[in-house]
Formats: sequence, structure tokens, C-alpha cells
Amino acid sequence: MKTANWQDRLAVGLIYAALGLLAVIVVYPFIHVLSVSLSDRGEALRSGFHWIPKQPTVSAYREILTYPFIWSGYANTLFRMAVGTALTLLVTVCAAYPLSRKEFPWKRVLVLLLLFTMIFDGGIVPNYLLMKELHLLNTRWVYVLPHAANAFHVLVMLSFFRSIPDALIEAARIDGARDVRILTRIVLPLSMPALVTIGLWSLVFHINAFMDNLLYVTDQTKFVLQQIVRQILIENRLDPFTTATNTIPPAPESLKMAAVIISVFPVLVAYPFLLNYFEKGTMIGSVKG
Amino acid sequence: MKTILKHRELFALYLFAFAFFLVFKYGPLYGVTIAFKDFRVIDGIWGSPWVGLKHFEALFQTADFYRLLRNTLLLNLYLLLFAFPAPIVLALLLNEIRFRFFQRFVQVTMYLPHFVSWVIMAGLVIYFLSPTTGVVAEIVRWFGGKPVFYMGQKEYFRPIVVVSAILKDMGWGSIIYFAALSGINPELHESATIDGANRWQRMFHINIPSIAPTVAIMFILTLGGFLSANFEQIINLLNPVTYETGDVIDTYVYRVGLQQFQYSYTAAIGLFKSLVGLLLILGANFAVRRLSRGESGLW
Repeated sequence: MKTANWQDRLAVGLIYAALGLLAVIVVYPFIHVLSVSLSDRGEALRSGFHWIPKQPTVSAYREILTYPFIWSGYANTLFRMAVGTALTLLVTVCAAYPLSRKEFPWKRVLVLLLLFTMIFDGGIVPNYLLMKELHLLNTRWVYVLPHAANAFHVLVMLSFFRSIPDALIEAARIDGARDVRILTRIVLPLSMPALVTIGLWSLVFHINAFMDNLLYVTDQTKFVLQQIVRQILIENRLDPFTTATNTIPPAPESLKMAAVIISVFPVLVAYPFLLNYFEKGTMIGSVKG
Repeated sequence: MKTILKHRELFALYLFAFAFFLVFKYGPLYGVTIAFKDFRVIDGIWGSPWVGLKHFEALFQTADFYRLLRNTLLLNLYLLLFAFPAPIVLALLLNEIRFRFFQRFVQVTMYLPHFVSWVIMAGLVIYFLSPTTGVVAEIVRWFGGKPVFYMGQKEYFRPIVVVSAILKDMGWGSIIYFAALSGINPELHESATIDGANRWQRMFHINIPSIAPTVAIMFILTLGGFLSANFEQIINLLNPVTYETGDVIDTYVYRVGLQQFQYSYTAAIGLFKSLVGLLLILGANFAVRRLSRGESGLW
């Protein structure tokens, strides 16, 4: 059977070309950024494309790593990743587990109470006033507490819990195990794929989050890494660097690009691992709760 | 009472978790009341005097409001028209690729920007669009054009937002459609080919109808975030020169509300936006249910 005529070949060729071009458009900026961050002053200020730096130098990195707020930013980001993710998992499991049990009463209403929070949100000002009344402004807690309540996570967890055979839970109950014990000894060990998926969603959210910082925190020592990078990259606040006593200071472009690399580095390293779980996770999430 | 006692451990777990939802998701609804009050910091939310619809009346009389409404609606409309279909097109094209390695390479590459924050993404957009050192300026020069300061031109703001939104999330968004396409029974394609259907006919008559339910659900979910979407993106790309076309409700509320302390007035705008968003998601769900005769929809 001969179906591949010249028109079809042309169509396929065009599809390959279009997708290839898209991939290049997405990958090129990363190469450019890395190259400029490693270039010397003259090279970094040159316009046009940058592939491989002619005389690689790490002076931009050496310079930017002397900026104390990069370090405090990293520490604050690590704090919100660790504490925020642990808290998110705890709250998600605590909400989803009772709702997954057949004998738990008023399930419909209790699920709806969580669902409602997905479609209505108070807005920027009421949220700000709430954080103010709770005395959470200018604290690191404001990064982790509000995000623990996530109805979408609960739905994903719930649909996973429901797939665990009832017989296992019944058997444990007959052996005299109470609800919390069943959860920790039977349900949770079987739910590792869902826990890892939601945990990674949370980690990636927290590593990139900066809105809560922008809205609620003004104390520079409590800024997260993204907000520090935002000051350098978007608000052009490079003053601490330009006063340095180097003979030939790195170009501002190199410093900015080094800041970019420093902030995306953890994600790039974890990328193959993330990819594996995220693609599967999107599928879990697409199962309607 | 008896049922609660019987399931006391389950109730304790649920109550612990629900406390977070109550405080951080329902809590702000209490603060919404200041849209109907004259908020004074010393009196707090409770003690500030009620003023009825004063702030809404003031709102509808300012020129700012119509500029914000226009910008918010237009930007979101363009995103819906161009950024929403982009992952669908990408998935359809990827599905035509038979060379597995190339397919995987494109996927892995296109997912990458999803994992990068809008701070970085917007910072790079600004850097690449610089008229002097930017790569885009270089390409424009190749074709004999004269590069301008793109971030400072109000007519370029919306295209920049739409294109950068597409580049960031089109790969990621394609996963769900690609999975739906992989689920199509290959026999459908085989019999269509024997009947003489070409690639495009198969795409339009087999692939697109097969993913239509997924598209409908994603459409409702997108409309649910309509009007509040892309705040993180816009706030990083916006500058005073582009307020005319780029200032949306959220960026205005942030600037005027939180930085100039006009809490009540901006809470009124925020409430207006939330209500419009709620109506949109209810309306979209209703429309999808009607069109699919009750088979699709979120609820």
C-alpha cells in the first residue's frame, strides 16, 4: 500500500521543521544565558547570538556570590520548600483520608466545602488584610501556611486513596487497628506515588514562588531567592556590585545571567527526575475527583 | 453526636486540615466586607463604618476603571484565542511524528520553561528584546529592519504577553492532549487510510473529535482562572510606559491598594473581578453541558 505521496511527505517535513524550530527557540535562551554568564566584559556586552564564550571566566559568579542576599534568599527558599511541602502533604492527607472512607458521614458537603475554595478567591486586598490581622506580614510563615490549603491536591489524593482496595482496610480493622493506625501503616505506604507527585508539585511551586513575598514581606533578609533575582534582573538593582573594587568588573549582563543560572540550577539538575513524575502526575490529576 | 464519636479520629483529621481552609480560603471572604466600608487601620475590618455601595459608584465613574476592564478583558481574550489552542496544536503535530527520539526531544525541551519562574522568564524576555544587545534586535537587523525599545511600546505589550505565555506553557499544556491522542484506537486510523483519507482528513475527523471532551474540560478550567491569570507574568513585564495597554485589574489593585493604602476602593475592584470570574466559570460549565448534552462539564 503506497500512501506516502509527495504532498504527504511535504506535510511531514513541515511538521518536523516547525517542531524543530520551536525546540531551538526554547533551548537557545538557556545556552545564551549560560554563555553570557561565563563571558568577560567585552564579550558579554557584544550584541547578537552567544553560543560558546571565547575566554570563559567565572568572575561574574564569584562577584554575585559575595552578595549576602543571594545566600539569605537561598536559605529562605529552602525553608519554604522543606516546611511548605511537609505541611502541604500533612494537610492534604488529613483532608483526603477521611473523605476516602465509605463510612465517613456528610462526605458530599465536606467535599463541596473544599471545592468552593477552588472557584472563588477573596482578592489581593482581603488576603493582605487577613495576613495583617494574623500577624503574618514580614514573617517566613506567610510563605508556607496559606499554601497548605490546596483543594486540588486534596482531590488528587482522594482519587488515589479511593483506588486502594477496601479489603485491606477491613482486614486491618478486624485486627483491631484504629483509623489513624490504618492510615499510617497501610494507606500511606501504598500511596507513595501520589505523595511523591504532590510533593514535587509543591517543591516546584515553592522554588519559583515570589508573589507572596512581593505582597506580604518587605524585610530584605526574609526575601526568597526569586525576589532577590527579580530585584537584580527586572528592577536593575545592581548597585552593591558596581561599587566592588575589581580592576575590570564583570558586565552587568554577566551578573544578571549568573543570577539566572544560580536560581534555575536546582531545577535543571532535578529536571530528568521531575519530568518522570510530573507527566504521570498530570494524568493522576486529570482523573476527576 | 454519636456518629461523630464513632468516627472521632477521622473527624479530628478532617478538622485539622479544614482549619487551614477555613482560615486561609474562607478567611479572606470576611475581609471582602471592606469593599462596603471605609476601612481605617485603627478600627480594623470589624469597626470601620459601613458605606454601602459608595466605592462601587466611585469606581464606575473613574476613567481608570474602564481602562483596566478593557485591558483585562482584551489580554485574557487574546490569551484564550492564541495561548489556549497552542498546546492542542502542538499535541496534534507531535502525534504525527513517527520518529520516537525526535518526538521525545521536542517534548522534553518544550516542558522546560514550565519549571522556570516568571521572574526569570520575564527577565529574559526583557533582555532578549533589548534594542541594543538583544537577539531579537539582531534578527530584525538581518532583515533590514530598525529595532526599537519593544518593552516601552504600548502596542507591543499584548503580543509580548501572549507570545511569552505560549512559549512558557504550551509544551506543558500539551501533555494532557497528547495522552488523549495516544489513547485513540489505531484501527480507526487504519480503516480511514484504507478508505483513502489523507493525513489532514484523519486529523480533523478522528484526532480532533477524540480530544474534544478534554478540550472542553480544559476550557472551563481556563475560564475559571480568567481575569486573574497571568498576574505573575504581567507584573514582571509591565512598566509605567505600558500602563495604557498592559495595566490589568490585579496589577492596579496591587499598586494602588497595597502601595498607596486605598484598601476599600481596590477591594471593591477585586470583588467585582471575582464575581465576573465566578459567573464566567458557571456560564462556561453550563454551555459545555448543553453542547455535549450533559456528558461533559466539571459538575
